Amino acid sequence: MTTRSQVRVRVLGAIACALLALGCAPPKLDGFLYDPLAAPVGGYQLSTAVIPATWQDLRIPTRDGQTLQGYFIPSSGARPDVTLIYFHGQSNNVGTTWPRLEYLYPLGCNILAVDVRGYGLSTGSPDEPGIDLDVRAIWDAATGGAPQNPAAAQPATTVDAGHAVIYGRSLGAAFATELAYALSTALPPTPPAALVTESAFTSVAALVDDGAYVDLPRSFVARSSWDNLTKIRSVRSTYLAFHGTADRYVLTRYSQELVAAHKAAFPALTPALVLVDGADHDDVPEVLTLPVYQEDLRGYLNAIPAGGATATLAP
Amino acid sequence: MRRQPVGARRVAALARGAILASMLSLGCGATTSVRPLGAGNADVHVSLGGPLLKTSGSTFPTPILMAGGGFGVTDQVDVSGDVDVTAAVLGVAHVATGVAYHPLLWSSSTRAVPAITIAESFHLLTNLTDTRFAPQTTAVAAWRVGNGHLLYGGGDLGVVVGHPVHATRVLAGPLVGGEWKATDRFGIALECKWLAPYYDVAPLAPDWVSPGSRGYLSVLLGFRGYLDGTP
Repeated sequence: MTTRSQVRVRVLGAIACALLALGCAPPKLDGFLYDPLAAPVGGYQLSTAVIPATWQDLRIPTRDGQTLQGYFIPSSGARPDVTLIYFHGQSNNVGTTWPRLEYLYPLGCNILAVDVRGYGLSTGSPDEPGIDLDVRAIWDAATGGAPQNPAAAQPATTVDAGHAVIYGRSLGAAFATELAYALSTALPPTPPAALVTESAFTSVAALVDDGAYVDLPRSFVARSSWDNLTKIRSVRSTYLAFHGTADRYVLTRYSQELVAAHKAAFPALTPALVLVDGADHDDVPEVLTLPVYQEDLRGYLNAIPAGGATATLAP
Repeated sequence: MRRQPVGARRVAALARGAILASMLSLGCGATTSVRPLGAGNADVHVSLGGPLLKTSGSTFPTPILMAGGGFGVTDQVDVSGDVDVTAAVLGVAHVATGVAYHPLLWSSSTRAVPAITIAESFHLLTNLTDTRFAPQTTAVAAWRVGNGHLLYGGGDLGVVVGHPVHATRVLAGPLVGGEWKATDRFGIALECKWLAPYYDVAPLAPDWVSPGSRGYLSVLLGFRGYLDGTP
């Protein structure tokens, strides 16, 4: 026979256990946002079908002791003075990104592709403060700037800061925008020649807002903010945005908002938006067609005045 | 070009849907307590499910897990408390307390007369950085079918107070469900809610599944243990 007091104790006990669980559980959605992809066992098997095996393997130290791995692919084309720094999106690494680099290689510029922390062969695990350090470390390594960890060996390059194009896709667009923002707001400012984003979002808060009818604080969902919309207003670089009109994962209007915000801040820089009819989140170059995609990018590269040092990397 | 792994995309979309739906769980995260407990009786209950979400060609109910208990203060008044386990896993405390009034109880002479439940609950969501709260009213009529099983229908009306205030939203919609009395102390419920059917979810990401892309169609599976036997 169960007494009323025993019932009360059972109910209160169950509720107390559940409340205890509330206090012990950590937030986890950032992990889904980044979804880092490690390098395959045995390392990458990189194709030489398009890119000759002239690339150089980089190890870039960060200020907080992580080591980033990536590749510097020297130009064999018309613009060895220009370096394109590429950031891939979630669930990828520089190995899975290699086909995209093969799309970019015919542009004739150098390419620098480095995994931020937690991806590929880079150490650590991704979070926004750490990746902020990473993109700066990549830039410093590319331009021969002050090393963030002077005690560690790192590559020396002669990439010209004014002849750099920063390109980010999806989540990588947030990394690219952060770097362009940091350079544009530094003292003195050293903005890159151009910023290119593909399938970018405006902020994590916007991603939350677009998924729900009710008002949800961003902090309920993720620790990261990646407020690209605020940062783009300070990016003193030419800006080009690609977005598919059939993107159901990251909405098309985000790129429209980013371009509008940049145009309002820097009308003379004439930002451009390429809306690719029928393209989804992952197939913008393919739906646009590769020649058109490359021609759009080549136009931006050609707008960069020739000159500056030919970028090289001295191991 | 190698596409983003579909599995990872699906997991990410489900996770995103889960947390978003979890925040909607004031209206769709727990099956409705429709069986008057009776004075001095208690129950414990768990609900799993939420708004239907389509990703990578497949449709899933978002995995919201809520748990709680109820206690009959009088034959016509129950009190309850629930916690949102899914939100907790994601670092948000979501608790709900409520009181249910049953102005009409089942008649011993006819099964046509339903039990009527009018429930008021208060939801608090916080991670100590941000806080949201929402009062909710639920009205349900429940009919006994067969040997203690239930069929019920009614509606929800919730107000999610936003910040700023103009971001406040009303979450209302109909619900239908049933509870199968598996044993004298245990019932299994299946409930369907159509939340905010006046709201166009077509422009939203991820892809919510609902009639005409209006609102959120929520499917819930509930398990309810009656500690003192089925009332």
